[in-house]
Amino acid sequence: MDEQRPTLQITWPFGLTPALALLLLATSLGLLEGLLRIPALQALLPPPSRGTGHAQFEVQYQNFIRYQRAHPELNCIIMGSSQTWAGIDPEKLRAAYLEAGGQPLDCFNFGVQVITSAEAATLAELAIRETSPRVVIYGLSVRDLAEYEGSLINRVSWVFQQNPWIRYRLGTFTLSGWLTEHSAAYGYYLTFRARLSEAEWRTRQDAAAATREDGFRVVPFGNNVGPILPDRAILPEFYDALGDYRPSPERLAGLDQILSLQNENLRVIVIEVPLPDATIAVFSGGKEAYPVLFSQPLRERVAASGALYLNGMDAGPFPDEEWADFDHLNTDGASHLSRWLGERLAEELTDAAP
Amino acid sequence: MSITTLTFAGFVLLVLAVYYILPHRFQNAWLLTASYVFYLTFTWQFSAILVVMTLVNYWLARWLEQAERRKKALLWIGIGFNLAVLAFLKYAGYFVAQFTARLNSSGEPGALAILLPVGLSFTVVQAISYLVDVSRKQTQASTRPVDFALYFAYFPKLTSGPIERARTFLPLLAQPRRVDNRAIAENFTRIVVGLVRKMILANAFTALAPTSVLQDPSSSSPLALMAWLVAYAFAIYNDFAGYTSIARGVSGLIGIELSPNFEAPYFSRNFTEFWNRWHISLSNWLRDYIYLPISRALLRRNPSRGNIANLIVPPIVTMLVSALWHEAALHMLIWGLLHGIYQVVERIPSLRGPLIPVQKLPRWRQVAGALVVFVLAALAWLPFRASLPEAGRFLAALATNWPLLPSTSWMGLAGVTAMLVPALALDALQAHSGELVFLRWPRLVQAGLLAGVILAVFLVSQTYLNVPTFVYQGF
Repeated sequence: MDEQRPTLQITWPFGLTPALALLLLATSLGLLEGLLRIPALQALLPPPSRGTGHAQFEVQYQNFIRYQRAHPELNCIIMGSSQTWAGIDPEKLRAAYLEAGGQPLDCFNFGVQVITSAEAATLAELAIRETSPRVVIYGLSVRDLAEYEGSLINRVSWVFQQNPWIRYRLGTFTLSGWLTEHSAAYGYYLTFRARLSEAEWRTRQDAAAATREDGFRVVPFGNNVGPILPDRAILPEFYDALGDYRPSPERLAGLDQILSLQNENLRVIVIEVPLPDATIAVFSGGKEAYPVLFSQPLRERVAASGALYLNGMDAGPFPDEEWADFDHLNTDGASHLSRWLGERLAEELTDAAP
Repeated sequence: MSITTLTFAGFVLLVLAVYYILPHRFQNAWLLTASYVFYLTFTWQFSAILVVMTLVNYWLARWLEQAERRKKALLWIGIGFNLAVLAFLKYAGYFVAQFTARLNSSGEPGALAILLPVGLSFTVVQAISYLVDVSRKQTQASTRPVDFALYFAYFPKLTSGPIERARTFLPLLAQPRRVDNRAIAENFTRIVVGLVRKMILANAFTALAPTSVLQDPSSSSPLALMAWLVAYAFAIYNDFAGYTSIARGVSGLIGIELSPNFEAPYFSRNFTEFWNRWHISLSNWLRDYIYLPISRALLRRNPSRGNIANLIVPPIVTMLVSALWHEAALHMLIWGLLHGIYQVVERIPSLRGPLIPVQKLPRWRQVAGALVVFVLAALAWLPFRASLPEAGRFLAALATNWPLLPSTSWMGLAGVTAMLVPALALDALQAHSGELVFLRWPRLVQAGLLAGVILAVFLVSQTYLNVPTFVYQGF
């Protein structure tokens, strides 16, 4: 008898509570979304996050969006790691470029800490989707191309490959990415989550305080000690990258991706960011090997793509007082390099009229 | 396939859709097929091992039931076979890995490391209890191979229990099932509560108890270390209780009720009560097949109240077996030993006279008892979670890193405190008014709560890129 009766024996009404729950959810989320889109309220809140967990990237991205809206004349993006962030000052570059006879070159410094050429390629794609620059300046040095690993660099690499918003912006649909892009409530939720991590929030505040509206890092590094090499035990990846230099295929591919942006409307300039002598001495083969194994192949690769290669070392010498540490220039060093870069670009880009 | 994924939700819906259509005589075969498909999502080797274990135990039980002589020998062969499988796949893997690590210059575990099938420990204890029950004539050997195979492989309980006895589970398989409005509401509630425990509470507490603290406890203040212990205690509890709740809910939608495994264990007022509320199905198994046989044997020799051996040996041995069941490692044995000692100490007064039932003690003693049990249980989680050197460093930092107040970890402390509010409220509600108390609330309140849960689970699933696997899946 029981064998004949169906297992599922539901009677109506059925499922009213879940239906009511969905209705309540839709209504309350709709109201919240509307509320959080009011500019007056937005002004009181910290900016919506992209959920990357890379606090300084989040700050730079916000700065970039804000700067681009406030400066429609923006026609140049400077990209690279923290060396570029602290090493190329858009203000000094603009002044030197104008003075040397060029036309206005309005740059935003989109330097992001702990990235290599692989992540810089992603960053370039993101930036170019937001605006249409005439010039992309990519600052790099040996660590951007070397094959090496470290917990921080691996984590940042993972973020740039896996973050749902970055993937969404680059054309792969992800629900979280779509919500991050289009929902104010979701963006503020991500900010709230970032706020829960004390370390991430502090890094975010420090990065915001240290960064000028054009993206340049103005505040000296905490360890502003000059070109003194780090302890091997504290930063083993630095010695891995330089002491046993081998270019990483993945990072070279990132460089090629940036070089491939070059076209008749967009000039790509690759500038080799200078390093102090003490740091170059760590390079496998020493100071003599550095130009042969690193600079020359880089120059050839860039030239083959049709982009422009500049060696920041040519702006030298950079005295000890111009170094924040073993591979970052301080603001004086950045002025020095940026003025030289502005003059060189004026010579090179006069015909291009950016 | 983790049971908190959308893939699993889709799998369950598909299984249910077909299951509800099928007549009863085909339903168990369908559930068995689905269970093996589920198990195949881990690796095919796991399924092969499960098939072998099923066949061997099925035939052994039949022989055991029919045997006129050498019943005991057959039982021990069966127990030995199951323990050998466990020892080889779980413990030998550990020792081989350690051995090859010593051989390798890198010190890394070698390629000979053996794969531990998910949920093997759960299957083995079910197999042993089945054989023992058949030999004691407490249950009959199954004559329905499909039902018996399903007893081992039933997917809602396959990876982390609850540990069901054949004598209660097989009759459920034999009879037709009924799933009505009430069953759907109750089991949907269990699933929702399980998701809240796993996705929201356990994940948050896990984030608040980072492994980095174990690696360098000296950089944390005692208060931060205490907060870590509290967070870990609630993380492991909600992780496992969440899994069980989801498993019971899914099984309930099939029409098969699984045993409850947790009843607000951190409200226990002594350790006997704690083990009646924590991982109940394993505790009951240990009680019936380890503790009571030892205790009976000791009491046969000396039936007096002052039998000190009976005070000490059964709890210590039982908890050491429990520790070994979890993992063959020294730190885990320390965890078991600690719980054994806790139980011995609290039963010392029983040497003089009957213990006063805990519910008859004054209120303040019940509260104080609960606090003491929680603190000691939380301390015991340390060797459960960490290696002995890590646990030692942790305790040293806890004792010496004064001042008590942290300089930088207010967010962590605030986080633990904030998460304790909903975690304790959920336990208090369920302990006081029943597991399904929510179904008695007004519909609008239920809907509001469900809306909040849907939102929270969605947000967590979208932003925790790597939801940790269930802790007990590792056993």
